[in-house]
Amino acid sequence: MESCIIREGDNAVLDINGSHKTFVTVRRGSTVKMGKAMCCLDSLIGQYYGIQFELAADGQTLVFKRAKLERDDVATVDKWDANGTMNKNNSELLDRGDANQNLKAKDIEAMREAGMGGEAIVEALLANSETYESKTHFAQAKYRKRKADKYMAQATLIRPTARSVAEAYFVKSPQKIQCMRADSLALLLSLANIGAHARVLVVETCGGLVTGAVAERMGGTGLIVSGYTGLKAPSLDVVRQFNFPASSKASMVTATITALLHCRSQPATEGACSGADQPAAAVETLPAQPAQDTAMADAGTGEQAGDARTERLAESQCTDAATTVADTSTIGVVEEAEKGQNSTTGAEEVARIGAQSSAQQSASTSGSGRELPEAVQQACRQGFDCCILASPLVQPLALLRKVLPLLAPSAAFAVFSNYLQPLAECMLALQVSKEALAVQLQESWWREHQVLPGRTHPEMVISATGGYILTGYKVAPPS
Amino acid sequence: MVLHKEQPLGAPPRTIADGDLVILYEQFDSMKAVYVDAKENIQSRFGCFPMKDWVGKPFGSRMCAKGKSQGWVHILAPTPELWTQVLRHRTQILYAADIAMICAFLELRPGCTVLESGTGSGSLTHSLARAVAPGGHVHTFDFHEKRTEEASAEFARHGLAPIVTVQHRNIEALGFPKELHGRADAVFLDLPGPWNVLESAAACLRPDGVFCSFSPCIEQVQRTCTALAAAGFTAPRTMECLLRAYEVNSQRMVCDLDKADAAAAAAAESKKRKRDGSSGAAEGRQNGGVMHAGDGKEPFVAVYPTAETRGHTGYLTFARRLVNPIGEAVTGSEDAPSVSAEAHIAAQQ
Repeated sequence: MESCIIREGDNAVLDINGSHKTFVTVRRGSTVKMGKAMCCLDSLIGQYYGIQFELAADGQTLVFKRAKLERDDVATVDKWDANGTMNKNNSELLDRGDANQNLKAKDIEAMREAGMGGEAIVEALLANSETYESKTHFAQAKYRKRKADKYMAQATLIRPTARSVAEAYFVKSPQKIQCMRADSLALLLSLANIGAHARVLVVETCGGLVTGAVAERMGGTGLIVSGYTGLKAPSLDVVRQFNFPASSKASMVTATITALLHCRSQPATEGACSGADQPAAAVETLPAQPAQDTAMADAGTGEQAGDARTERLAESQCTDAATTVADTSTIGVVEEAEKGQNSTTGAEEVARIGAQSSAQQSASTSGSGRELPEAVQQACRQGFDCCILASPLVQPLALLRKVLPLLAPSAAFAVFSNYLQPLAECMLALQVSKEALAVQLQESWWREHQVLPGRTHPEMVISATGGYILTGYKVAPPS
Repeated sequence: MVLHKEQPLGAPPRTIADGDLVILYEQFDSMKAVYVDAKENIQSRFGCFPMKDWVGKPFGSRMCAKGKSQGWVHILAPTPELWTQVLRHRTQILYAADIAMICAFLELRPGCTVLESGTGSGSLTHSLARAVAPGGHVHTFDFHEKRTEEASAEFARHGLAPIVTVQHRNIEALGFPKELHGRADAVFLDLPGPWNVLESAAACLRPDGVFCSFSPCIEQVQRTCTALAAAGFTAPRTMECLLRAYEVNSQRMVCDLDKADAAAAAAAESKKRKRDGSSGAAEGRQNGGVMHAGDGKEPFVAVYPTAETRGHTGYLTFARRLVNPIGEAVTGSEDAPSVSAEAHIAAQQ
């Protein structure tokens, strides 16, 4: 039940008429664009996500929509078939452009100025259409919907989840998430065996969508390392759309793959020498656990999760705990997410970004895994349980060969690409080398259907492919 | 344990233990579920394996057969996906693409409460449990008593007992138990007549909670969708999803046509000479070697869809429990579904 109430400062997805989507932040006093109007979302704070509303005739006030009993059943359709649809057709219909509609733009403008609501305008449009009466019931319904979408825009404030965020990005800016379709993302999470308490290695250039979706599934448990190659970590901006609690942010760490590999090659005793020996390290984590639990509990109750002070406190504790080994900001994601969440001043933001990039620089240039948090060091030595690779412009085989040593034996991995051939080559190489088992190359196929009485059929236009996914399980190296 | 275990700092890496469920991997199309029993041997097509040898080894290890057979198998850690591939079918089951979609579009995350009917073979249940653990719960129901007993024992054996509750109940006839009203974040139905359960599902879901129904036939979808709005649902979406599998292999294709022609001519010539007995076998072999290098062919990685594939599993219909505004007149949002249901029944009478 957590986080289903809209809180001040939340990021959310604003859906208009079920088709147009934008990302908004709910902040008292600030306005967002809804169609052509600018409106204030203040009155949504404290409501449930999924609340539906329209703009009142004044173009500013939000009017909540209530449950309506609609019944569009098959019996009606049969009646339509008998009395309407069958003896009506479009043989008499001529496309005369605007001439079929007696109301002109200036008439509609005048109606608006007179304070008429969207519903009244739609009724007037239907009444003044030369052809509406001659249309079949199905065509009438379609016409009415088209006009309603324009004049009575209906909005829904949607909770940001992997599903809603992925779908909104796919419509708005697919290139930012490497055209990762929601079904492909769903498959990556399942096929890579993402679940609570796992230690997950993610390498992505999907703007943070994959990392965010993984973090959502893990609920602040386990560990997510967002690994990258090169000098600069790719953007993980999308993570901040999720309104994650402190525990989730604390479980995310960015690091270079080189640093992780370096850390793996260091013996356990040396890894712990960065401050303490093994037992001391175990003690060190104890304060971290309760802090995370508190943060979880905060999120769990939902009602009081808006208490920013508690949350910030828990957050700082968690962050401290996660970085006890060294205070370099390896927790790039936390910084990133915070940047979006709290309305920091520009100067502060720059300072943060500066600190972050210099930390990344040092991590990548030194190549030493020693400043990594203890939990990451342990994961590097014992191996990650799950791995998702979603960097289509890095050769899958080269990247997989790099990260395979970091995976625990029997770990599930899933590699996403928009391109089939590089994955095919990777698969063949794995089949020959036998580094992995149960290797499969699959394409996700997804088709939506319109289901209406008497008018059920697959959608006319669909996305052609969701991309390709290579999966397998790592084989234990011979002992 | 099918799910991940917490890994505190300093804990040793996980190894195979007596009593564990493991996946015995013979080759890509042949896997089976095995419960490790250190006192027993297991017979596979690749030989006889004493299971005591496995205990303490890392998952993913290659295990050699006893004696002279020289065969081996790999032992994988179980996952919900692997379990789906090896489980004993008590019913028709859901497969990877639908399962992934259901977990994602029901917006499951740790702490969520999800209702499932029917339990069937428990294929989906394992994935639901993985998505809501820890802190969440799967309430799963089946009208077949023996099946619920088997499923219950299996979940316990897989360490899912704290997360999954199985009950014997005919959901289509009785609806979900009243105790679950207002408590579910998500409801999943795989029933012959899901439209019979919509009002009960709506009563169980929190505002904005997600409903999903899986039906193989479009007529079932039609009936369900027709009844959704009246039961208090909004934003219906019906979809199909499938995974299309590809095969790969290494092949050679003609790239230099002139060279290929020359090589073919040379081969024909050599064959003719061989038939005439005018040339030694050694020369033929030598020609063969030269021919292979200069035959105008280049290797390439061939990738193509498998010849036969699943064309349909079922339709997934998703909808959300309608949200009523808080703090306005009329009834509280908690009562909304039952009110609308009663109003609907009254209207019918």
